[in-house]
Amino acid sequence: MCAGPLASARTPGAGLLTDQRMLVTGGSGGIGSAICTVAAREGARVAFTWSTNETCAKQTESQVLAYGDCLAIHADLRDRSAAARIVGSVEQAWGGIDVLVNNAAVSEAIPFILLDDDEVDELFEVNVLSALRLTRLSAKSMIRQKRGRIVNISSITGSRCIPGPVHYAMSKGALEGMTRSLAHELGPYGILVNAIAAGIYEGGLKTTIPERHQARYLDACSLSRFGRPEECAELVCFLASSRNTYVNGAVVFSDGGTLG
Amino acid sequence: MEAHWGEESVISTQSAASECCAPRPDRQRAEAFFSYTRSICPTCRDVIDAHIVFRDGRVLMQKKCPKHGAFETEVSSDAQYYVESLGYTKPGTLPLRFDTRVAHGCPLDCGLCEDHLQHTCSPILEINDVCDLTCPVCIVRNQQGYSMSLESFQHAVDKLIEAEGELPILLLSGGEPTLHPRFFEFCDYVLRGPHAGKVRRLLISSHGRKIANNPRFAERFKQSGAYLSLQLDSLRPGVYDKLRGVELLDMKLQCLDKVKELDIPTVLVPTISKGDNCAELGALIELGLGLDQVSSIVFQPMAHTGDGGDGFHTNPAGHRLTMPEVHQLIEEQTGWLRREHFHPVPCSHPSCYTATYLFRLRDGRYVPLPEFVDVRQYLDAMTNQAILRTDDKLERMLLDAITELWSATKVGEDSQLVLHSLKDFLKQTFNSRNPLTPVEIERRTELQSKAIFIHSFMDPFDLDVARLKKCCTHYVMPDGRLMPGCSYNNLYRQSDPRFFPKAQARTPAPVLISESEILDA
Repeated sequence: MCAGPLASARTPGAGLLTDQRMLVTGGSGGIGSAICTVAAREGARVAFTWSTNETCAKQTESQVLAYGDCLAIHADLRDRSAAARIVGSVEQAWGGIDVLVNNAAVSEAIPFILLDDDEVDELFEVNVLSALRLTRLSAKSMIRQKRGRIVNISSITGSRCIPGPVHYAMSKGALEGMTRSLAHELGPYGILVNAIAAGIYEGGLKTTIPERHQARYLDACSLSRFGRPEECAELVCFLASSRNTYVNGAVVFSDGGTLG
Repeated sequence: MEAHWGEESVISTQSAASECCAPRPDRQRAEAFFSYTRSICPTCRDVIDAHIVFRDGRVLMQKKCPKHGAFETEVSSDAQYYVESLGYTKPGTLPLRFDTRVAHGCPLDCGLCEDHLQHTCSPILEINDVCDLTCPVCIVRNQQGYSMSLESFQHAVDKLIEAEGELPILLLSGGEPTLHPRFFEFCDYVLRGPHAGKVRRLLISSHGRKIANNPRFAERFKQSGAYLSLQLDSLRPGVYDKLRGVELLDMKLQCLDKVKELDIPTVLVPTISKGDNCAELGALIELGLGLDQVSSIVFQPMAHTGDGGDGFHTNPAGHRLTMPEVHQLIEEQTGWLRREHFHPVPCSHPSCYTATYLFRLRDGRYVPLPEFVDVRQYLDAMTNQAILRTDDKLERMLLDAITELWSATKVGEDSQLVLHSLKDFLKQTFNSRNPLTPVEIERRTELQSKAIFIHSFMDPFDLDVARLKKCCTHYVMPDGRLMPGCSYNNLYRQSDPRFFPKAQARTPAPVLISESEILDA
């Protein structure tokens, strides 16, 4: 199911991300689509990647276009050459990238003992290595302009002891490690790097989580509900904006207050 | 003596009863006493004492009616199995409400009385008693006059949800429920009405004629979201003529074609009569396993009650199929399912329900879960549920099974196949690249696994209150009361004013708990 349109308007020129050039991976998914739409509402020009769900990609595109420029890029992030093509497309269209949101991720429920190397490799290509490659390529123009924001969408499985596929949890742990180390390395160039540890969101990877685990999550969540994608998107937009000047290398939990 | 109850099962008439109790010259009884219970006289239906005894490796019920003499009925062909099966017991689940007091003793306080030991897993709601067949094996007594009103149906469902909260299944029966003029409105009320989501599966007990012969009805049935619980006794010509009063084989096959064409989720329900179709268990299992639409097969050994009891066998003795006999027949006829694969479903009495769950391998074959899971966990996962649900216990059991198989020092070809098949299933079911809705997940789980149940109903000969007390198959009365299936069929049905308006009310009448008392509680 695709994410629905978000119903809020902005005053022209007053957005958090006015004229920022933003690249979001996985823009056809629930959280990715909301990030694109909320960022566009906040004045960003939004480029996003999508891989399998053309219907939802088109929906994201039309939602973004309602606010401003949009660039939809079909790409398989498992393909190592994809990153250069993606970044090249955005730079060619808009001259550079100000904000990168590494949101794309996949998951599958496989017990640890049955995981084979190919499955781990494939998941890491999407969840970690594509983020690394895109970050490296995007950082070039950010370093030149001495300004940039990178937001990585992680998960509470990356740092908490909760049920979840081991390779998925590993990938999120890796993404958070990358966030902290990069923040240190890129901070001096005006580039702030942060991550959001997302709880369970409607329209996110929720479908890969068995119902009984979802119920357990709700029990542990102080708000007793799943997150709405736009709630994660609002946080992304703040971290990606120039109003964020001192949050760097942080993993911010957006999980409605669940048991640590 | 009522001749139609079968003289062989009556071991003595009233006068002969005293002779039977006279000491034999060697003073040695032929049977060993095992337990005491209560039953009813097959003739007058009075509640009488009964003994469960062992003789020649078999289990018998012996009882004596002061008016109609002594009766002896085989309740199990295998004493060892019978004793062992009694160990498969788990604490029951309380219903959210009881409706009757303990006043006269079981089975005269139905229901459910405060002494009943189990909640409702499998409620049956009879929405009519109109049927276009007059099956000689029918366990009810259709009078062709009753059709439940929508208001009455809604009230009964409301009460049922009040008593149970949520239900794994609800079975609409009759009569032939598909002949009810407001049938689809009933389905809508259960699945999309105020209790939407509370009943996980709505099953319709049907002979299948309307599905087979009426394409528009079949389409609507598919759209309704209900499961078809299809009576399918045989795959050979000649059998239906005897069991159902008319040859139905072509119609049944046509119905199965429609099930496949429209992808109607289906449960196959063969009634098994000794000497008539008991050689077809293997074939029926293979048929069910070969159809993606079939989630389970429920074998029902014939019970001599209702119209079937009145006339099908002049003498039920020798025609009874007990639980271990069915297991044995399945073993003999399939060659790969073994009797030890079947375990009592812990929610009911071990003599009432046994089951095995099967898992589909990569190569299309099925393997019984007890082959590779811990049996204790398996029974826990089955506890108090009529269907295997994807809950924590099942997940723990499967994960443990995977770990055990994987870590075994000697891994056979079959264990590798089981492991890979389990992995395929998990990977395809919970994968972000192909997200599924909860309903799609449940359907996929059904495609990957199937269940075989044996559900043994009781008749006036083998009725045992120890089994009744643990019964989880309950008829839903229009006022919301719940009647254990076999007490209703043998004691209450014939005085139910819905079907027999002129019948006298049963005495002594169960003592109802008032609504205000229920609220106070």
